[in-house]
Amino acid sequence: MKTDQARRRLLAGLGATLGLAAAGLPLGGSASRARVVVVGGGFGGAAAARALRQFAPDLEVVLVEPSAVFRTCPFSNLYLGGLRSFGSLGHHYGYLQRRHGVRVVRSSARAVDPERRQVRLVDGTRLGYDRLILSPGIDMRWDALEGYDQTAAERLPHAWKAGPQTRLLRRQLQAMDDDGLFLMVIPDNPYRCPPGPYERAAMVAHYCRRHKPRAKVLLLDAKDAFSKQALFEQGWREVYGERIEWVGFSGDGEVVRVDANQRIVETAFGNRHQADVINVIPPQQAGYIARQAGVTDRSGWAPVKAGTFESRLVPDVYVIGDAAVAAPMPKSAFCAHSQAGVTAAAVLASLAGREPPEPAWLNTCFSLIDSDYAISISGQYRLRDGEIQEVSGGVSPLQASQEFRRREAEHARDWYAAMSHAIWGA
Amino acid sequence: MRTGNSGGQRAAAATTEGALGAVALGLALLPGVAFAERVPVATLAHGCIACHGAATTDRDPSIPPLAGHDADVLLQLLRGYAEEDPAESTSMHRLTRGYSDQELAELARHFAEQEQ
Amino acid sequence: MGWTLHRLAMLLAFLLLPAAVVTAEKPAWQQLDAARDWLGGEEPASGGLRIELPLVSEEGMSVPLEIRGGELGNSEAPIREIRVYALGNPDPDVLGLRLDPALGRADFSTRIRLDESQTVLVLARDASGRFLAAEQPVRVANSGCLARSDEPVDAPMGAPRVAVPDPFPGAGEPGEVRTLILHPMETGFREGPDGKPVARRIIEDFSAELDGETVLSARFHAAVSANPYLAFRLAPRADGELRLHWRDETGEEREAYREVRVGSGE
Ligand SMILES: Cc1cc2nc3c(=O)[nH]c(=O)nc-3n(C[C@H](O)[C@H](O)[C@H](O)COP(=O)(O)OP(=O)(O)OC[C@H]3O[C@@H](n4cnc5c(N)ncnc54)[C@H](O)[C@@H]3O)c2cc1C
Repeated sequence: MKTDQARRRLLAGLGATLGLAAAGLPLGGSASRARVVVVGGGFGGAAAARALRQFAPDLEVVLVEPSAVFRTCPFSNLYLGGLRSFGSLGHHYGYLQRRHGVRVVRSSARAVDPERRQVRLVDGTRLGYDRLILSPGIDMRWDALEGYDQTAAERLPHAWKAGPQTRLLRRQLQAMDDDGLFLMVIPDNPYRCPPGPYERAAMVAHYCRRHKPRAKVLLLDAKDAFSKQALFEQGWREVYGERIEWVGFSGDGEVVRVDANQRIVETAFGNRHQADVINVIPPQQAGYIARQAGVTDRSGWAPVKAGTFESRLVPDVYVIGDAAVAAPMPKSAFCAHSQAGVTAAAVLASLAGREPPEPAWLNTCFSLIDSDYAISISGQYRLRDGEIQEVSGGVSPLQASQEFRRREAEHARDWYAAMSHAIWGA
Repeated sequence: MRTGNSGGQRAAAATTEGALGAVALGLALLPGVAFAERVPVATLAHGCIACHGAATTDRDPSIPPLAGHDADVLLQLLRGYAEEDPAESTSMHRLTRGYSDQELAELARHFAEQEQ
Repeated sequence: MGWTLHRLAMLLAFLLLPAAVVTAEKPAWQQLDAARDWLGGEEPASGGLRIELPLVSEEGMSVPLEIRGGELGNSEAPIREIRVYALGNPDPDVLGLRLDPALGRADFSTRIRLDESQTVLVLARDASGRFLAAEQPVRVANSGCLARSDEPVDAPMGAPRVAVPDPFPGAGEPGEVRTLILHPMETGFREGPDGKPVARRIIEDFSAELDGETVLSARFHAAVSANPYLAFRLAPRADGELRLHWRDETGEEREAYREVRVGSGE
């Protein structure tokens, strides 16, 4: 077939032009092939590994990820609301490995050595790379909110990484008194999933409607405006009446101190709120390995070249997903997947010594208000004057039929199924 | 637009995608030429599959899979979304407006060439 | 470690290059008439004045700005006046501040509007008449995800919010005073849903008096974000009373009083 010939020619070309991965690696990489190492098996990393193998089936792709099961943040709010099981959030790497020939190494990257082009794993193994893609997601900034550290998070969960924290928050919600107060602390931009807290509020209210009919949900926000605000406020009111109350920065919503033992939070203007369940979403930064590798700046996030997401600070290291500064693209799973496709193409071009192909990115974030009521925001992004710009996009209309909202809720479910299939294949 | 889709067919589609990938990226076909002006169809298609990638539910999906449709039919639909905002459209109008007509045509052809 | 040198080289390549480009450009104060007028031919020194802004802002409507001008009490030439400019806004004036040494430190936090990616310039004049400058470029990547509604806000000036340390840490020790007042700060630059420009209406003046002595007076321009927020330091020597006062263009006024208690400072 013509395509096969073309592919062989491409790969032969790759082999000839490349400085190959450092020799003598425990994984025994063949010296005739290029190796791309991907750190992080979440939305960005797993999607990048898969796209690389699809675009260039002979490329050696190594994916480093410590967990055997990846739990998605998307739809973890639905789990809190009782619309999804915890199990349904889990995805495995077997298909990526068997079907797509991605080499999955179950470990954590501890350090990056850009000079030797090596990633060192926690067990001391060194993995050589020709190109490195980091998609480590976020870490909490434990020093940013007084009184909120890892110990405090065991009492006041963030549940902003899906896993034990999500289950803890669900258990606390279930154990809450019928007339209890669920309080959420929401940070200023930028943070993972701009509409996430507000979808969570709806899902908590959804749970309470059935199980805690007298409970209230109070949102204390460090911002004066938020994603899809008018749509959320309308949806909350229509579906949950007065149950959800939002207090923005100007209403004294910025929390400056928390007391985990007494379950009290204090705001910038000195108001104190006690609650039965407190969900603190703290300020965030790029995952540890990005900071260690030297790809982050003083903001804690990784500045990248707009067309490829190659780091501006360390060559041949690409950063995608939440860890990267991709504004105006939001930190969403959809964007992480989209960036993975563009960056996979850019990495292949770079290996072949070519200019990167022109990029195009997409995003759509669905937010569930009720089991049959969703709203969404979409955007398409292109490179204009060297910067990422939104070229088309929009949000769900404020005036829409029940049928429209119901269809968007169905789209949300289909998106989740398609997206996880497109990444983990199951 | 409704299509059924079975597991076996999906696997076949995945293989085709793989083989087409390198070519679709324009890497192999344009040796020595800078190809910075056009977005490779593989990049464009990667965006679509985030929602249209697979029908993993046994019911009729509300988002149809795209593989194996007639290219002209697909293109007409896409143009329709790009030009106006039909009542049955939720996100499609917001997104398709951002593509050139040539890109829409390439996408239609790309998905038509894939097996269902 | 073997790659420290390598890293250094990369830092040089990646950091110095853009920096070189920036310094090749004129400093911000030279690019702005208003700034040059105030300087009156003086060249401002850099250093002694720091500002903090996000490198990238996803929402230009409300960009946090911090000004760090150092000690006032023990300084020979404490900062007396500060002016903030946004070079790319339709009206580059943002904020003006007159300081009394009773503040203890020339440290401020506020939130400002940036129309687009641009440089923010802060100039300060100290008691000896010397000028200081600090500037920082901010990339504004307004995310559609965070777009606010265009509805004009027709609310009157709201009740002020004030937080003072209780007590202040010790006699002459600075503590942070936070102030906020609900007000639309309508810029006059935007169109309402009917396509007509929404009439400008902003708070113009703010002042803080400690026992009748003005310790801070501020001039707000349209680029101060809606619901103006201003945090400053105050270093009272003894117990007393703090009066805060706001006045908007239409002449409407609000005031707030807070008791000031000074701790033992142990
Ligand atoms: C409650 C909530 C709801 C959300 N809902 C949506 C939604 O509906 N739609 C949407 O598009 N987005 C949603 N998001 C956002 C989405 O979760 C993130 O944007 C997405 O996960 C980002 O992908 P990523 O690859 O950057 O990071 P992640 O998906 O978090 O993946 C990072 C991976 O890297 C691994 N890792 C980290 N460090 C290392 C290391 N040193 N070595 C090896 N591996 C490492 C981690 O184990 C993890 O598996 C939601 C987020 C939250 C919190």
